[in-house]
Amino acid sequence: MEENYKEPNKKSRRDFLKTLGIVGAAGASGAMALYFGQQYENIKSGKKVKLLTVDNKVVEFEDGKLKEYERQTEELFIRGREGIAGKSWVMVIDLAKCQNARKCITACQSAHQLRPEQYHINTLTMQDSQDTPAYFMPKPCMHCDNPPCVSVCPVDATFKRNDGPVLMDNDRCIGCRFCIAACPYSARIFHWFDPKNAVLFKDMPYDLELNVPQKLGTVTKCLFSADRLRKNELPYCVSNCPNGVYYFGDKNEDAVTNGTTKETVRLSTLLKENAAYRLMEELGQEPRVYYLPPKGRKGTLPEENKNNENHV
Amino acid sequence: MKNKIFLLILISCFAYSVFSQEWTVPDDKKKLTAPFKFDSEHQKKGEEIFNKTCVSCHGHPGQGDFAKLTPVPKDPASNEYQANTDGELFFKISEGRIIMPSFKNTLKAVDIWDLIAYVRTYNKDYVQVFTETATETSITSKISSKITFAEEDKKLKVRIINKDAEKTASEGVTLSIYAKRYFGWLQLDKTKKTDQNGFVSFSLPNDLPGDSIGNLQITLKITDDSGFEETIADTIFKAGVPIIYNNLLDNRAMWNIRSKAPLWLILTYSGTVLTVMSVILYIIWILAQIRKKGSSEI
Repeated sequence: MEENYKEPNKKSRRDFLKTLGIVGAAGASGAMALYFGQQYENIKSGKKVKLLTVDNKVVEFEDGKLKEYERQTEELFIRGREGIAGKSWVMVIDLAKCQNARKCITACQSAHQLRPEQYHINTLTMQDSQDTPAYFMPKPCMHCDNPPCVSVCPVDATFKRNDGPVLMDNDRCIGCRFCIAACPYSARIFHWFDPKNAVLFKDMPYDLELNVPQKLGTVTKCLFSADRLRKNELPYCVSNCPNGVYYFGDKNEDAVTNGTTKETVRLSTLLKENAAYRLMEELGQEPRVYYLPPKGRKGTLPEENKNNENHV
Repeated sequence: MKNKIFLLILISCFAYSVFSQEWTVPDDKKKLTAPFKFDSEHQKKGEEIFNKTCVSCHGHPGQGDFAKLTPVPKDPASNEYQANTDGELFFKISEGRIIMPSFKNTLKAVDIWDLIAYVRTYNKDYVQVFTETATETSITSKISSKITFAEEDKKLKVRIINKDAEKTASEGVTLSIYAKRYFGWLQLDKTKKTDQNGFVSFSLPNDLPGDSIGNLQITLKITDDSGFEETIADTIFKAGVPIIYNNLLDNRAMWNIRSKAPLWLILTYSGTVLTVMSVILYIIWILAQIRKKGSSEI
């Protein structure tokens, strides 16, 4: 018994010395770094920088002491739940302009680390009757103001923000898929298999607003590119459309901006003049995505353009 | 006679419908010319822009690999395309039509002229007509502006004066005003030209939301003869209505957080729980009574 007790003790002493050596080396290099840092600082002394803290205070720092800071997951969660104050995001999709270029889909998939068969947004081929020509209809999440998916979530994983979007917290999601069943627009998908590049991104801090890295066994959905909106940029799908299909903007400001032409127009005028409608409005879910009718269709669409998901 | 008139009207209608298919460019825009010579540097820049923004629909010039869309995107190397004047091309690129997007907000005037310089390399007979202007001297250095805003009738009056010795009024200057929105600039009223006294008046909408007190950030932009645009004033006026927004999460709803659940739900749920709990407690109390009675008799 005594032997057993001594063995680990001896080892730990050796380990201790080893650690001491490492600590010593680290200390020396640290001191050197400090010394050179001091030298550098001396050169730049007197220069001060103003910074905005997380809790919205402006503080002053000396320039040399600054270090770039990587956002921690906790902060990403807090800001992801709060949203952008005073905004109310809406999207307008002009069906007359969609040519099924599918650039919105690929941009979205690459931003959110989705496989080619997983869609946050998809363009469907629609034909209202046998006698009318078909048209393409991009279908993202409708970000309803009365979202049934949020109502049914048992763990508060999916939630509505003050600025409009319905987001997902994959750290809370238990994969029950109630929300998928509740959504009448089929806007949600489930990770049945390992997400794309799961190994590559596994150490990346989870960003609620971008929903990456994606997690196996959880639900994922369109986020209105909440991370881009914070940076004053249009969503991935909107800015990548080559045909000017998407308008995106703030309903409170009564203005939407076209992703292709970057032209800003008044939301109320655009909706009124083009007889805009929303999908399945009768359900009373108050979708935030408006559609402009597919006017000016010419004949049937070329066969080659049709994708697999025909809703004829 | 009547029949003839009718026929004439019919023909003119038909002709109109045919011509409306054509892309008509206003006469004053047709004569627009580049402010510099199309040299190899501009052509190279133009090629870069072409490959980035135009190839996806128009294909590579002369290869015929354009997208099959209606209306068909024209091949820049084709005679039909090259028949356009520089001004027509500039207008068409900047304004767009049907499925051709407008590029006036995404490309600067110099980029569009570079593009035209590039596509003209596919036309051997092309001889450039241009009026070289010193591009270094900006428009703002030549003129000065004076802006007044009348709050009661929402009219914005602008006067443009030349910065010369006599301070003469600048006539025929093209101006447009924009209001700042989150993703871009919203044009208010139409693009207008100054009159002989250098005046131009814009009417602002009555119902445009501003910030919390109704302030609007308004920019005045000037466009020169070559389509070059420059900001000459960027000011804040109390021209909008105060923004009204209600926080979605303040309302009680099924989808809201627990503390914001509908009252009926909270009442029904807590009522049911309380009832069940009190029944259980009542049973326990009765059981205790029975036990008490039993033990006292023993």
